[in-house]
Amino acid sequence: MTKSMMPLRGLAALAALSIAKPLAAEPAPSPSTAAEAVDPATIPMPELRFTPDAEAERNYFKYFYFHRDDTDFATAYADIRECDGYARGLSYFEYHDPTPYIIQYGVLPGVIGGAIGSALADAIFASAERRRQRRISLRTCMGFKGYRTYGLPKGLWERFNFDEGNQAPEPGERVRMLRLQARAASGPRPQIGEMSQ
Amino acid sequence: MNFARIGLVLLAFVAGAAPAATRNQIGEREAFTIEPNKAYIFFRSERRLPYQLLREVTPAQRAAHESERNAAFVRARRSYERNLALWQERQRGCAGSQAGQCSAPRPTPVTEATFTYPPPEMDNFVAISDRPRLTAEENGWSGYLVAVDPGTYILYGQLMAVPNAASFGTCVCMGAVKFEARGGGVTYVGEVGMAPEEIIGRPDLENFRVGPLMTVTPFAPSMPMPPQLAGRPVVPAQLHAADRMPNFFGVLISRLAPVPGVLAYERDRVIDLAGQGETASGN
Repeated sequence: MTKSMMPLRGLAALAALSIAKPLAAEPAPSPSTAAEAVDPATIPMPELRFTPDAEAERNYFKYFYFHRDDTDFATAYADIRECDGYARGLSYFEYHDPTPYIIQYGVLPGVIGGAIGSALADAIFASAERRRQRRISLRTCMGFKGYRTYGLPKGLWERFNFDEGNQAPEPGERVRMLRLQARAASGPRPQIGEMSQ
Repeated sequence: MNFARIGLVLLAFVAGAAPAATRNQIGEREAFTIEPNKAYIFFRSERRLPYQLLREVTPAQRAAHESERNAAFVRARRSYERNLALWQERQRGCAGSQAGQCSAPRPTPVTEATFTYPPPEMDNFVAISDRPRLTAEENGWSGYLVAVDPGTYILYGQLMAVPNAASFGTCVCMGAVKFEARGGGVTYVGEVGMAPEEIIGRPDLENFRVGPLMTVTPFAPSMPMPPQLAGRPVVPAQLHAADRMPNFFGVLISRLAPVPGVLAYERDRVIDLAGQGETASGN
């Protein structure tokens, strides 16, 4: 496969079939952004307390967050960024290769398709399928890393989480929420909402 | 209900409707000569599915790619500067008007942070279609033979990337195997199958289970040898663990099941059991 043959992404949803999702071209984070140290004391703990009810439990599969015991913020943040990258089809994570080529690549569909690719993909690809794929990829990636998954009511979940749908969050907002997710992932073990792995 | 298997059926269906197979994929009745400058990879698959192999990027290739990228960046930067100058000139003539070209947005800056360029890996993928097959066994297994450039290859995933269209399937981006394929002979990888039912990942949100997608069983002398390979130089693949890789096609992600003596995991950390030392990955 050559550069000229790189695939566009996106098409009709098929149950349980992984179909690559389209994303508008957007810049990759700079290596300095990826590597900067974040003081967890500056990141507020998201509100995770709620009274479980049937309605919330029915939607845990859509609205969830992660936690792993004995995990510091920096580790959780690196894990969450990596898995967010996987779910987006990016290559953020810090490869063991010291050459940071990967971080500079950005979103591949933006390279190939540009406006044409995005418009075509958006016309034929359902945002619901894109959200579904993101959820599966996140749970797979974080699951392999040993994180447990916990459900939340939608209202609490939206305060520090996002789904790609047909519009990705602004880069600054993405970073803010990923940090909040890392704060939750590295905090006290949740007492409610645990989901099966 | 095994949604992973349903997904495979759908993937096979779509693969069957895909464009013609890789031209270097050799069919059952196809005469072929082992060329010294080509490597030949053979494996048996439990399912008729498309796969992607990824040839590892060599240092020389990466250096050449970096030069190309830098040159492309310079060109893009110059183009942006020309467009910006043109836009600014037009704006000066608009005197506050928003009509026509006056409403055109400011060109997006081209910087190192915003410039996108495909990684060198994109030149190194080898697509294996579900057809043609070298062998079609009565038990439903298929044998695939593909001629490639010599190098080290990673089993990247069970997926299909249709040129200028979409990508389907799952990559084993979070843990795979790799092997060297040398020119002038056939490298028999072994068998590629689905992970056992009791551990296979379930990509079904309401009944989700994290787990591997596929298994690889290294070559063993008891494995069938296709008649087309009789008398040809065939060597067993020396499998090693392959570390985590980017999701180049934006498909779902998974990993191979552990392979005794080859591949193991500590959470997401890929462990190479075959003598090259631990791969540095995971936290």
